[in-house]
Amino acid sequence: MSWLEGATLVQALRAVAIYLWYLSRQRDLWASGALDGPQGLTVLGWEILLLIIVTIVVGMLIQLVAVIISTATGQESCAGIEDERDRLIEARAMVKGFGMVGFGFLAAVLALWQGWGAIWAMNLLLAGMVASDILVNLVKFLRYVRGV
Amino acid sequence: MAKGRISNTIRRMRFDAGEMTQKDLAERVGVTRQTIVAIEAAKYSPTLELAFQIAHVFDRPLSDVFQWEPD
Repeated sequence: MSWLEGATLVQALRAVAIYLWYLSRQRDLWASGALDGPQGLTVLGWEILLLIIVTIVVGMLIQLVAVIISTATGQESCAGIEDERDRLIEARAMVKGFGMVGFGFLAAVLALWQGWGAIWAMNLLLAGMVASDILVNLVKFLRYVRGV
Repeated sequence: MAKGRISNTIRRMRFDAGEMTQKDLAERVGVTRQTIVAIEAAKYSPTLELAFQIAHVFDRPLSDVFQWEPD
């Protein structure tokens, strides 16, 4: 497995792990009633903000660990290097990702239409974005392995 | 559009050019080694510009390096 293939797989796993962590927090918040009532949206806002912060920090830590490993082992690293093939793979993966975001948006709108609460709609929107992130990285991984 | 497959002789060209490494070729044309690996394995068809650059490195016409084979 090349450096890039490994990197895209790690990014997909990162997204899955962080989202599972977010879902476990959501479950606890639902159980405690913290998401009930009008103040529930404020709590949800903070939870999503926390999710974004954790995603950024974990992403930076992964980058740091990857640089340390590649330096220590003398392994070829492609961090920061991008060429036409990478851009093509990225663009094709993004197309699939946008589709997933659209699906999440549609699910959120349908949920609102069906009378579900705003918190559910926001969570569906977020799920679409997370699924998009995972899908983009998996598509990139497959493209790197199988070819463009 | 007619479908086909682009094959290449980069591996042989590298061998003929004093066993040039994939890394050397990648550096000379400004791409990653993985891209050269993918091109050699016919897993990626380069842009026309990159194809010309690769042919230029070996000082050969494009058709000597890349061939299009219709299905």
